Amino acid sequence: MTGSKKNTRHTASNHTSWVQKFESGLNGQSLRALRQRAIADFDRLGYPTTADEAWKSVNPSALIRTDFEPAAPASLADAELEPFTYPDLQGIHLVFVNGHYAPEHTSDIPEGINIANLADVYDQPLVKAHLGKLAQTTDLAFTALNTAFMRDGVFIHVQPNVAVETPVHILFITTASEIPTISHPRNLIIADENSQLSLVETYAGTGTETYFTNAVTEIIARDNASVDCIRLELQGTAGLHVANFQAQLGRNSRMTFHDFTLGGAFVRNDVNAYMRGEGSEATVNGFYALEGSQHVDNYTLLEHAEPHCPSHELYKGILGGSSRAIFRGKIHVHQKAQHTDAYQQNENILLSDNARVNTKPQLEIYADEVKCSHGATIGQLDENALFYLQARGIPKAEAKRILLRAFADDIIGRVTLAPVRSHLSDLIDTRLEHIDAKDTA
Amino acid sequence: MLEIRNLHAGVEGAEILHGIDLAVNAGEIHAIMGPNGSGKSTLAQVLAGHEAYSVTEGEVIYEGQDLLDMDPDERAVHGVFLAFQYPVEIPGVNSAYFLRTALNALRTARDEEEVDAIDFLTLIRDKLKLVEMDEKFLKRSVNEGFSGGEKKRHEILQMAVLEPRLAILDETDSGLDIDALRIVANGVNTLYSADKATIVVTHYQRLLNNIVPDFVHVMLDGRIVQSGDKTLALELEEKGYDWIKEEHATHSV
Ligand SMILES: Nc1ncnc2c1ncn2[C@@H]1O[C@H](COP(=O)(O)OP(=O)(O)OP(=O)(O)O)[C@@H](O)[C@H]1O
Ligand SMILES: [Mg+2]
Repeated sequence: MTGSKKNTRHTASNHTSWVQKFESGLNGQSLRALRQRAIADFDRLGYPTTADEAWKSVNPSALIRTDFEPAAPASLADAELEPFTYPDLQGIHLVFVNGHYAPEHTSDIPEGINIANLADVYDQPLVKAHLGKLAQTTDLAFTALNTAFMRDGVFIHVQPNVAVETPVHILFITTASEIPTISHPRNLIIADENSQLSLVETYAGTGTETYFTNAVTEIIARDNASVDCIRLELQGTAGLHVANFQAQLGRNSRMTFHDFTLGGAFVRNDVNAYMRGEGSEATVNGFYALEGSQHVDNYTLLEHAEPHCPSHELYKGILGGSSRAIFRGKIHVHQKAQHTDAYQQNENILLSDNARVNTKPQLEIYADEVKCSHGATIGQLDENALFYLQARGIPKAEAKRILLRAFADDIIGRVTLAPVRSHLSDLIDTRLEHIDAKDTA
Repeated sequence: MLEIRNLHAGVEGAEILHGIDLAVNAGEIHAIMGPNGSGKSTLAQVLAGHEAYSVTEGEVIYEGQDLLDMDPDERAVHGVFLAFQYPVEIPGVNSAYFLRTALNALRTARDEEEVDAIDFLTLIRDKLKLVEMDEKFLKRSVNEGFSGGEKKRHEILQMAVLEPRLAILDETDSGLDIDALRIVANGVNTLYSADKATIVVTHYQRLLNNIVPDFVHVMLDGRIVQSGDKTLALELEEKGYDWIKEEHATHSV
């Protein structure tokens, strides 16, 4: 472990008392047992090392420095938030600055949906019953750390039979700071029976300094519910981002998740769709466009626990510079999950000789009537396609852009929320131009 | 218009073209024939500027300029067009967008005004008629899932939109049914004018019945070994390549 010895906050013997101290500053101690268990798990797990299977190809040293300070609240003007919002999105907006809820930015909340800062509703029976149930702390050190120190975040409960027409946009933003800071955003979303919700999570940073965002989101889609999630990660160039997204699907429910990773120095995404009700359907798609020395891991688990559940997974990445990506896609089909139909695909384009991708499908199938397909590609931009476009008069740089855009559009085009799609489209265009300019320079 | 002098070219380590000489004037139609693997497509690709092929000797002068010195897109801007033997599939890029981007790239490079979406639609409808293609192809990804014949007609559609001065058609007739062959030939003839030139690479006389060449050249092992008028194609159709191969073998000993 790196870091100075005199900073003892995160050494094992001190964790419990540190959590107690942290908790005394909160209104209510109803989560004491959960926090204690989490910190005990963390003590047992410790920070990941390269010996851990899941972190093998990563040097996690940047993440385990011990001098991260809890980030202090800061107030931001609307104009400062603007780059991280979606210009045409008429939504319910909630903003968290440095991990702290910033109520002044919250917009009106319509009927039929409960939205609150999680820290204010720990005592609600729904929260008590569900918080920490999906995001288990037993084997993920950073989730354990989040659970021990969680405070602010979004709690959403969509009441049964309510279709929330207005999308909910949650923005977590970290401001520039000279000392490295850490925040632990925590979200719990419950879409009750036969309800409908559209959710957008954005994680962003304004500075070029190191900071660490360690987020956990738990989503419960009850029977017949329909939940569409989009996540955009736009952390600053030295930002560290670890995010655990756990969704549970009830009978005949459906969930889509579209994950866009553009920022950050180091990003680790865990995405888990747990199809726990018969006939539920999960779509998990991701896109990453990396440059410089960015490192992005996507660890996904599509867990088929019941029969007749289709799942669709497509991750696509474009890598420039000396960036690294890891895709580990696990499909777990339980013995009783007959008639599972699972599709998984990971495609990558390397724009430079120094970029690397490691892609690894993992199938664990215990049922016998299963349709399961997976595939992965890693390659360069198609030279022949490039030549074909050029031979028609399109300059090379534009031809490249057209091909990269077509590759990305495959994911962007699946985002149904138009204002988000068009904004993402612009962001990705800019990013692609930037990556390519760097690699051809 | 085009002058190829002692052109040697190949892929890494292996020379494929061993000294090609060919002069094409405005208003002329040249046919290039020759057995499989003799280097016809290589010549076509070198003229269009494919990076996989390197030129080791010789020169190509096009309208007074060094063609080999230009990037592929510059060659297109100067009016060179290659109809590919194997048109490339480009998933996710629809044909309408592709055609309009290409046309506007040429126009921009020539300091002409870009064509807007509406004018383009009028223009493209006209061109679609020429190759008897349905408008629905415009919405599909370039060449993706097109049948062999549709790909070839799509090449001629591109030629119709881009209006090149030097068109090189690499086996545009292969895999075409009788109707498609007529459509392609008709397209090429309609687009032809006295200030333009066409090089047709083909294996079959049947295309040359419709696109009548002024000159026929036979390629063998990376060289043009015989040139003649349209009767040479008829002779080849009748006798095959063996007599040329034999003749060439004795000559070169
Ligand atoms: N990129 C390449 N790499 C390696 N060999 C090549 C390449 N391109 C062409 N060749 C070789 O060069 C020779 C000439 O090929 P080319 O495609 O020019 O023939 P062609 O005359 O067009 O044949 P066909 O009538 O079958 O289309 C062949 O032996 C071919 O295998
Ligand atoms: Mg050929």
